[in-house]
Amino acid sequence: MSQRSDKAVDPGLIDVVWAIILIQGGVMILSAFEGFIGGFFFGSLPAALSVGGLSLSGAFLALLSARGIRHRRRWARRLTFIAEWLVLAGGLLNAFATSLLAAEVAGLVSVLMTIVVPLTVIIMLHNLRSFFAVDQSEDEFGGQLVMDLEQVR
Amino acid sequence: MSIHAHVDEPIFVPVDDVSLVNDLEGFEVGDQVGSPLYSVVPEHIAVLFLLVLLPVVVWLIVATIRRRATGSHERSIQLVDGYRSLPTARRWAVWAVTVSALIHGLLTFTHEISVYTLLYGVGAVALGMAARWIVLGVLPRLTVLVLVGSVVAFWFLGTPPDQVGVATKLVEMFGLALLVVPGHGVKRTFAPAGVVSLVVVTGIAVWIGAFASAGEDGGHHGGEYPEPGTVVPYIDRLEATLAEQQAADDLFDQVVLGVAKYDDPAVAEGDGYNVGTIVGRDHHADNPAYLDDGRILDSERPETLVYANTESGPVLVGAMFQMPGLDNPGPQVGGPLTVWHSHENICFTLMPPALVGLMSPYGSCPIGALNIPLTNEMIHAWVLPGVEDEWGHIDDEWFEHYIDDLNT
Repeated sequence: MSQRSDKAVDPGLIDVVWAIILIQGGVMILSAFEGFIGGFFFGSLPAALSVGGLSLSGAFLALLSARGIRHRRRWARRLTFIAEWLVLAGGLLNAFATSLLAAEVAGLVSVLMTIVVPLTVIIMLHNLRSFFAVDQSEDEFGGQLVMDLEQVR
Repeated sequence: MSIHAHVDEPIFVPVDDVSLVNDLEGFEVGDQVGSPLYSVVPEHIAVLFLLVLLPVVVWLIVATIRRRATGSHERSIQLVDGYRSLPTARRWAVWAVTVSALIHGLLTFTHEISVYTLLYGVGAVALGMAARWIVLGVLPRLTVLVLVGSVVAFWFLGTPPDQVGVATKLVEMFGLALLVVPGHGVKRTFAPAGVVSLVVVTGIAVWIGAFASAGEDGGHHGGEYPEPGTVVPYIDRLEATLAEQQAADDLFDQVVLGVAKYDDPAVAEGDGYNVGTIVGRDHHADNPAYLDDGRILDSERPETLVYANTESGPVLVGAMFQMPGLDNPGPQVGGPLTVWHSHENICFTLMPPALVGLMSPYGSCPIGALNIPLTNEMIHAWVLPGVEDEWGHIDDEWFEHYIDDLNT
């Protein structure tokens, strides 16, 4: 990547990504409640525990990633990338299924949260990749303390 | 005798003596009515146009302020200078709050004049002021209070919640998150946790509002908004004609006789129903062989049986008839007495295969579950003796008493 294009990217967007992931974490916590309650209500405790547990784990990882993103950890960027691609794939699949089965456009909130938002985060993190290159000494899941870019500066 | 017909030969009951009693507005006969949670109420449709035109609106706002600033307009100069000095997160916050203010302002004109008109107006002004305060870097606590207040007001006043309402609150909570970015300004140790909590509690409040605004029987009879996840055809009257009443009664009697043999779940199992282990009081056992057999409302061969597990053993509660395919409306044998319904936005998982609820107000299913956007139409016949609403919603309290009586 050229130095010129590095300068064109605003590092302040990291805070924007952080805010988005924070909201997504809250959404996943609510999904976990819904999974536990909905699964139990429909009479399938194993299903409730599996999707509720997965959503709760997802929420934990999202909030952990949000923290890692603010500290410009590469593992957090990678983890967020994977998660957002999965959300985007699910959102596109849902939009396709909705238009095919219900002959309708997917809901406004659904499009916003499962297509627009993950796509925005993916593009931002892609453009911000050079700002996550400073902590190569850390382990994959951020177990070691590494000075972040602000401290280096 | 059973009533059944092929898909291309729907049962037709002539309708006369029509009384218009439906208060749902914005719908026509033939429309499908779902919970506003998954759609946009008529008063909010204008917001969709605003969203399409948003880039133009933003350009107009920016161009106007810049032009006034070059004309030495003091307040515009302050806004331009203030905005330029803001960190990126704050700039995004300004636009998030501005978009919300614009939506509130627009909604002031799309609702009939009421207290809500005033509240939307107050919300628009307050949010507009909050956006200005962010630009000028003043009154940070009051700015946060305005945003939190707007979200909390939605918990109590935003019923029935719809897609526009939820999307607007998400934009506001995003703006709030951008205002509490750690490291900017005052110490905000717990603020991010507060934003996450606000997202969760707002989602719960939306669920409560969506169910509370549904009709008394879950909206299964039409004429009211159904509960989330249920879709009913729009009907323009709620009173049946004598002919419809007779047709519904006749069909019900045939169903009671037709499914009596399935009081014993073993008989149902032998006829191909997937009874399995009966759990709870709403156990649906479907028969795959009857799902697409070309017979509609066949009282001898309902597509699904409903059982309840009680202390004295399994009890046949009712039968559920289904239409084949998604585009086939069920025959309204008893007019408004026999309104079919379908389900929308159901979350289904394969771990193990089961329904795990409905799509969240935030537009997704729990991780590991997929959304089923729409099902085919279905109708229940509740065959328990003495049941009040034979074709609609079984009353929970009545059902509890019935089961208690059985157990004693």
